[in-house]
Amino acid sequence: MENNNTRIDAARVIGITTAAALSIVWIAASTIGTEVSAPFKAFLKGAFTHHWIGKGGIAIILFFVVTFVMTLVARRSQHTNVAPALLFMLWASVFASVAIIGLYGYIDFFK
Amino acid sequence: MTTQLLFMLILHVFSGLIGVIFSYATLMELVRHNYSLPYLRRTSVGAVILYLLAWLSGGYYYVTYYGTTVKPVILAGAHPFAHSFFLEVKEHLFLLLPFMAITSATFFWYTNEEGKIDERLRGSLITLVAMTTIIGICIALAGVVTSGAVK
Repeated sequence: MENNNTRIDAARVIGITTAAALSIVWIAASTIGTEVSAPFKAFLKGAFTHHWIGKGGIAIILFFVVTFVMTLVARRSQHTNVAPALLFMLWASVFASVAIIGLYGYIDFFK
Repeated sequence: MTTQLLFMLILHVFSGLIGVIFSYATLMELVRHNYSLPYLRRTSVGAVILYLLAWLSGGYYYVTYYGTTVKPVILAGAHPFAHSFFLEVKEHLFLLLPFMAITSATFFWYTNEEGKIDERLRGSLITLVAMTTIIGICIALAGVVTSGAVK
């Protein structure tokens, strides 16, 4: 039987949530970037064999690095309010989804 | 198509669909007044694992086969928007899902002293899990449109 009181600290939650939000922002920004800049797309393709792998690969690296850094920062500053990080994550998800759908909608139906 | 690619495609479809079912199950439990935290933890972690599996298997199929073999057929067919809009949106929105699922799963381990989720966070968590589920459903439907355009 799992114990409901098994919990992780606020610093780790802030670290993971901020990292996930920034990874999502990166995915949206790089998706727009590859559509408006051929050299950027070529760079990702050259470095990762495929631009899609580049976007996902960098997002994963960013996630682990930011999780480590932000957890450390939140722990040292004794920051315990996790709500802003969750709100950032929500807005990042909304922004990224609308940006991706809007981008390809514009390219395919209006351009 | 090789057996390995076929396996990857089937794995992608099934893990993605079951991942969405797990997200939906998480959502339905989270909106209940007397939710079960162990259940939320199991379904949310299940969704993370399945989305990652769908990401890896779908990514392998997309990078090694779709772009060179399937994409030209769709673009030359009667419904090129199946790739230029639906597949493009699907392949990029899909990248968001594991991060959204990891975040919600993390919060199910962040409880108060009584082993409950902070009520001030619950509303935002419901929104996040609902968004994950809706995006998952849209991605699955985009997959149906893309597959249909090949025939």
